[in-house]
Amino acid sequence: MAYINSPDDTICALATPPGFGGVSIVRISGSKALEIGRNFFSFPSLIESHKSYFGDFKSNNQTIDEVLATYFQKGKSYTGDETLEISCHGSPIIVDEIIENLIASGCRLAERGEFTFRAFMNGKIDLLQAESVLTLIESQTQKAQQTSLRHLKGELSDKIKKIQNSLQFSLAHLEANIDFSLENLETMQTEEIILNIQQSLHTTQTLILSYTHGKIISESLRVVFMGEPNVGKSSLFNQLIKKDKAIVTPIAGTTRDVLEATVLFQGYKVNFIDTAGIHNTTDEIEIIGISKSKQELKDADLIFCILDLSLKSELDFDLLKGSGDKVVFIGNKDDIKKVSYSDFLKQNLPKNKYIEVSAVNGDSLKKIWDLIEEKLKGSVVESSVVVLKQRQFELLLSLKENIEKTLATLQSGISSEFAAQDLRSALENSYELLGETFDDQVLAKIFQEFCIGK
Amino acid sequence: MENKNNHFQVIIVGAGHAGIEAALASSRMGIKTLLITTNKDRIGYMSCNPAIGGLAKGHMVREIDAMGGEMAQATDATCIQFKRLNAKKGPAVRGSRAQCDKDLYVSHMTTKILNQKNLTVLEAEVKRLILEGNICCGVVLNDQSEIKSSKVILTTGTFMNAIMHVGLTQESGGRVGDKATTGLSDQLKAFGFNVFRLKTGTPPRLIKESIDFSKTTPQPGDEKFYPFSFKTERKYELPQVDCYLSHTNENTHEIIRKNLHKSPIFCGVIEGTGPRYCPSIEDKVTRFQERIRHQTFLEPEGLSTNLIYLQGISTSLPAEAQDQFIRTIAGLENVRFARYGYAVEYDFIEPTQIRHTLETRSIVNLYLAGQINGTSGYEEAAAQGFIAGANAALRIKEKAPLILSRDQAYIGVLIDDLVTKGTKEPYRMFTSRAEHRLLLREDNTLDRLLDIGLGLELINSETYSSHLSLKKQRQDLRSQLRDTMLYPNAETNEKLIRMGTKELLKPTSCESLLRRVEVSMESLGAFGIEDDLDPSVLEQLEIEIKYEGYVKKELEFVLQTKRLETLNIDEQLDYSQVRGLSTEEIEKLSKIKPISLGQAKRISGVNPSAIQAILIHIKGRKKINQLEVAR
Repeated sequence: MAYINSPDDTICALATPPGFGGVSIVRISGSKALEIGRNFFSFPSLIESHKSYFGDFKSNNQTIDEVLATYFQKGKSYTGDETLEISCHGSPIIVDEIIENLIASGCRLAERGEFTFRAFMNGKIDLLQAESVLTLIESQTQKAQQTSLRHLKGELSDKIKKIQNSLQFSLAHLEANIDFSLENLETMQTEEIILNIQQSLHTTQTLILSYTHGKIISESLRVVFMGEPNVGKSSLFNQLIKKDKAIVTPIAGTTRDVLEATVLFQGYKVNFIDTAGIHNTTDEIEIIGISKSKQELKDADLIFCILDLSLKSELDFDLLKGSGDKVVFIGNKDDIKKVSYSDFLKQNLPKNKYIEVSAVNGDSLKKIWDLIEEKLKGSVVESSVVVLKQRQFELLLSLKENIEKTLATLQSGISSEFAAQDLRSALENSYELLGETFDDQVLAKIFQEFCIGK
Repeated sequence: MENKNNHFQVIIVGAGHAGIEAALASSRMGIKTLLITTNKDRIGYMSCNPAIGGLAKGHMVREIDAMGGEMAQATDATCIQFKRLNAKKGPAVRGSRAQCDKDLYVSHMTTKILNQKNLTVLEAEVKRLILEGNICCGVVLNDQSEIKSSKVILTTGTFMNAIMHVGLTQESGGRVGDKATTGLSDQLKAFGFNVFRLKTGTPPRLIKESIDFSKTTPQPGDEKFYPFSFKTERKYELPQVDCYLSHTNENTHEIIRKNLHKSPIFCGVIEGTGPRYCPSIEDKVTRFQERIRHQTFLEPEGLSTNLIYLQGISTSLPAEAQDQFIRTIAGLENVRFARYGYAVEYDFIEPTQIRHTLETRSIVNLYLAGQINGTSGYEEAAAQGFIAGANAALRIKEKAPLILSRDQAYIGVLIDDLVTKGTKEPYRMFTSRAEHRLLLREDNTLDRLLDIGLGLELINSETYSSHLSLKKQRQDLRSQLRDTMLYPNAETNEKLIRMGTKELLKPTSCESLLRRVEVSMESLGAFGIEDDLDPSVLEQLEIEIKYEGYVKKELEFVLQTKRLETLNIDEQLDYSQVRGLSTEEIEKLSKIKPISLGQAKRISGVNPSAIQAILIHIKGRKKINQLEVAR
């Protein structure tokens, strides 16, 4: 981030989407925001925060646009720095002219995320909230937007803070048992501390599990079609995306590359991936396509393994080893099926892991959409808060690891100062999550809780 | 001896636990030193409890000893009961505590002080500092005479503007029998120092013969003695005595509650903050109403005195209330008082105004140590006294200052906490204050600090080489453990089962066997491991091996923090020029002037973003400087 090197600058940027529109907003933030603004707009000498002023944005006595200018005083703005927001008519020409003038007058064009970075630096938001601002801006679906907004409001932060408090509480009791062991304190016994820490572990685990859903929200649900050549993968693919994107011919091996298409479904992004049919071949292009297909299986959230009911499958099912839960078998061409094969599949596959469809039949599509809906619902964990970012996920993993170590140390019966070491590491993870650092809050807790004599 | 016209290099004001260590360190380092006290009969007097050490405090006593201080030897010589606290817990949080004979402790210290070369003692009250601008160059006594010196160390304890409270009656004084001192703190205040009030309290002293000990539970000390000083032999010098445990009850609490309106703290007569971890009995009864009893230990103050110290019952209620409630405690029904409990209120200098060397920021050559810096406890005081004395001497000798780091010693933690965070209540050391406490154990004190003692010339080379030979023994024994392989056969396994541990399944070295919880160094004697070495060698090695994993992890933590600890900040840095700091942060940073980014991070109220901002500022500065150099 180059901009952290020049935090003194007053920065400006278009805050609304580029292009033509009703209104565009240019945001200016930094210690000279108002001083620069006054070069172009006649604010009253006594200016009030959170108040909008109407007038002309003028450069060299020439009006560029009629604008509404809102002033936010230092400490009360989004960034925490003095800020102006100029609402002008939504024309790229006007916006460019305003920004050019501001830059000529001493502003610097803001870099990506710089306003939020300043808000974090000024302590207006914690790190989790800062991250959510970025996911909020980037969100492409309603779900992503809703989840990010909840993070911004601090719901994820609250969860982490709750874990943090509970760990601090446990640490306070462990420490009290060490430092005030002679005082006859009514501290929690190890068993109680363990219970308390187990609860934090549970919350952490739930948050970790939510990342499966979080990834689907922030990215997409990846649904991969796989199977032997000419079983009808591409036909299903085309019908689901309602476009003839994949070339469909009766010739086996028509699809050679991986095709991808996105459909919005119930507020989620669903990415359908059509892959090359898997079989033994010497065709070089097909071989590359098949290895790509295998790669896709790894990244998939849901795998539709398509089987041709009119033929007995020769697919190497070992390919699906390790994909376990993600796979649903779809028997295609149920209009021309071999009854014996269909019965064999029905008997040998779990009910919720096998359906029969016909690519030409509308009801069949509904069956597939139902599977997708079920998958989406299934990824929703009890936790009302969902982890969206890789960084959060990774820190939660080490938090979990350190909590587990603490529990193991406590249960092993070794003296509590060693468990305290693990617990401090876990706490450190929680501070990292929130972008805080450790300070001496433990003793303060001890004193609140206990009656301590010398 | 009392030739006032002499020019001294260092003057120490106060002969308490801080003053003694400061005076001895400085004079033993070859510096001409003057110790001024208002009462020559009370050199190293224990004003409150008759004990030295305790959790984390015992660690500091050993640390002072390893660098060449006196407290440990005085404690060993006068110990009348010894306990290793938290003995059942891990090695890092065990702590030694000794009850001492108060009178003998004073005479030990007095003898040392009076016979010390380069050290002069003067009985007088210091009224003022001689200041030339912001440079301190001596003191003015109550008879208006002046004594010059190049350094002055104030270790005035609880005596500056001190008031004693018993009920609602007040009396000037820092301790029963000793008057308060006036003048100094007012002068410092006028100079611009932040001077605040603290409060401390002490329990009643009772007459032994009037106590029915049969109604109490005797508390004997440990049979095994772990002397505080590595120079002391492992045997008790004096006969050992018991303490006695008793409890308050609902009647006690009832009487206390009825008399609260006569307590100076509860009526707001006392403004100073008292120690939370050493609350008065009034405090305990009020704050923890659900508790039906509080424990109290009856501790003898010495072998030849009949005074009993009533640990845990510090009070400032009026005498008649004390008469009533103390007599509700089992065993004390007919007790007679030698002295009533009382509270003391005194001035302290907010410690963020001093540097890690304990020299004040605003007055050059002036050092502060002990309770004047807001600490409580003999050990905390002694530790600071030693550091101040050593630093004053080092400065005169134009040598590098002595600053202990937080991963090196509890004393490092103590001083860094004081100068970084300040304190609003009497500061006491706890093991949990030391984030790297697994490294700061009693057993490895010499490894941590003996080098420093040698460097200060307070530890002689003979002593040092005897330590090296013990270290060598430890290393040899470790190799022996590593090389002694045990094989899973009937004989070995039978021995193991007798030790209460599992049989071997594959060949195992004695070193890895020792990592098992049930196996001790002692039990390895069964496999021919040498066990007639110095006990300290055996103990330290056992700890090193058993807890190696945790210690390694701790060392990694230290490495992680070192980056910030070694990023130095220029004392002249103008924080108002650092972009991105809040007004509060600028104020705090400008006041505390952290020496490193690591220290800055520990200042409460300074956010992580501020650390980022300072880092950017420093790096930016460097770039600019490089550019200028390039031009």
